Parts: sequence; structure tokens; C-alpha cells
Amino acid sequence: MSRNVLERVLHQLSVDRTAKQRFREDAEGFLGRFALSDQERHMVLDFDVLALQNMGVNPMLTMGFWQELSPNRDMRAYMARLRPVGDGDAVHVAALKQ
Amino acid sequence: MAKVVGGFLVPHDPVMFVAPEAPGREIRDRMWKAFETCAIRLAELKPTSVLIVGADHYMLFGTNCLPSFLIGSGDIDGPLDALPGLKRGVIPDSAPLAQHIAEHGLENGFDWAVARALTIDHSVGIPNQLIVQPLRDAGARVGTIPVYLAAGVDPYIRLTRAVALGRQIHEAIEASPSDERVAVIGSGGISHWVGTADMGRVNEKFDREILDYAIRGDLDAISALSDAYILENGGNGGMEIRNWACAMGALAGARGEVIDYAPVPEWVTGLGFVQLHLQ
Repeated sequence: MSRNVLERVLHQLSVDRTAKQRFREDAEGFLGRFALSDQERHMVLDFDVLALQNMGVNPMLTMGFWQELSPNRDMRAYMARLRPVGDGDAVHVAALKQ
Repeated sequence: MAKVVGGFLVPHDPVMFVAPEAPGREIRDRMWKAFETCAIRLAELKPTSVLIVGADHYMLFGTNCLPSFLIGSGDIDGPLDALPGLKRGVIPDSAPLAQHIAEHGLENGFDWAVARALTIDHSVGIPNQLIVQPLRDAGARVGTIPVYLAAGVDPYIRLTRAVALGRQIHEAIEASPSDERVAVIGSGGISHWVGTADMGRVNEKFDREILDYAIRGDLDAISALSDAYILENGGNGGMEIRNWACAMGALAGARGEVIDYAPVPEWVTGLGFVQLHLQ
């Protein structure tokens, strides 16, 4: 199942420093080791956390992935990927890093 | 003979450490004070071991192995996810009693996954630091026994099994020939949504329902909650009430006293603190 592989990728990227470094240096090369479809690979490369969650990926993994490796680690931007966030809306998050 | 001397149900909210100033002063002072009260109450019980029931957050265990229930039967350190004010380090263990609980379980139909040397995460690390460590700082010798239930990553342990595991933990402790005095802490909840579109939502109605079960020691009622109901009303983080149910099972017949509760959206959680008093 794709969800399983996607979770494997995101779990590695959350706990394995070597994997994180490889992803930062060559994300497509790193993902080439895993049995992902083109669509799934793009979900990861695009940090499409909504699509990943819709695939069944655990939201704790998508949040950690965003916080660790996304170009914009801002959690307001993360929430905006999941739902509409207005300028005046308060956003509270469970992220482990500010 | 060893015995269970009491228990607590508490949150393990990392946002308290990451963004300590986020809520208003009155609320944040109350929540930190509630942890202090738990530590004082724990000291009064004079425990020699504290068993903390936590939940992995898809950090300790990965897709290679997702244990339904696991006990740290040897050396412990952590937390893996160190936070500001929560440093990683070696944690005193109670390995002989933990091994006894694991072996007693195996003999009685509870096939524990065992971690011989475990790095815990914040779900054990926060209660350990805020409730257990003050006893050590005051000179007491207290070991921590970490237990992890599948409450953060599916397939989730069933609530009925969590309660039964708690009962088994109680039986195992009582069967120990040691003179251990054991407190049990259920760590987690209450309502919170982690990483989802609803993150920041807190459902006080759900929280008070769970607190009511804890006050009454109503194992049947908490066991009867469906996963769909918990996910809808308590969020994916609310699934951690399994940890409460397990601790309640270990203190079956106990009555709960709410030390404090507050819905704290800034800390993305309904924070509930309960002491379980044996009758």
C-alpha cells in the first residue's frame, strides 16, 4: 500500500539524520529508493501535506516533515495547506519547534 | 509484597515547553501548578517505582514495527524529542520490577513487546520530569517504568484491552515478592488534534465526559467509546485516553479527584489532571 511507503519515507525523514541530509541534497534521488508512484513522489517533493493526509498518512508525520524539511517551516503556512486560514485567524499548533 | 499505592492521569503537552507564554498568566500558572500538586501528592504516596503509560508519536517506533503494548524492561534515557527545559538524559529505572511485569504478563496471556534499552519520548519524559523527578531531587530513590500503548499510530490498541492490560499490571505488581510501592500515571489527552486541519481545537464537552469517567472510575463507560467517536470529538490526540484507561484499570475501583482542568487552545489541548485514590 502506498500509505505504508509514504509513512516509511516520512518516518525516516523525521528520525534519521543521514536521510534528512540526503533529502536536502537530492530529494528526488533519495525518493528514488522507494516504491512510490510519480504522483506520490510529487506529494512529498511539493510538501503537499493535505494530499498526504488524504492518502492516510499519519498527521504527526506530515507535521514533523513540514517542520523539519519544508522550505517554509512556518506552521501558519502548514495550516493554510490544510484549510483556509484568514489573516486575522488565530493559529495554534502542536509543533515541537517554533 | 509489592503493591499499587495510587495513580494519576495527566497531560504530556510539549507546547507548554515550546510556547510557555502563549496562554494567559492565570491559566498557565494553574497548569504548571497542577503538575507541582501531582508531584507533592506522589511524594505523599512514598513510591519506589512509577509506571508511566505513554503513547508513541511515530518517533520511537516506525513502519518496521508498531507494538500494541510495550514495556521498557531495562535501561531508560530520553526524551528523544528534547525540548526547551526538557533535556535528554539517563532516567533511573526499575528494571527488576519491569522485567517481572513483562514475565508475569507472558504467563497470563499478555505478550508484551519488550524494550531492553529504551529512549522514551515526551509522553513519558514530561510526567517523569515534572512529577517523578522532584522526588529524586528531594533524595528519594524512585525508578521509572515506561509503558507504551498504540494510542498515537494505528492500529490502535482497543480500549477494552488497555483496561485489561492495566488490570494485568496490577496483578503482576501484587504478585511481586519485592517490597515495591508502585504508582501508575496515565499520560495523555484529553482532546487535541495533532497535525490535522482541526489543530488548535479543544472540546471541553468531551474532556469533561472523560473526566467524569475518571472521577467515577467507570471502566465500562470509557471502554465503550468507539474510535470514531473519540476521533470526532477528542481528535487524534484524544485517542490517548487509552493511557488513562490503562492506568484506571491498574487502579480498578479507585475514585478520581480532579486536581485541575482547563481547555487551553494556545497549548492545543484540554489539560486534565486527576488523582486516582484507592478505596
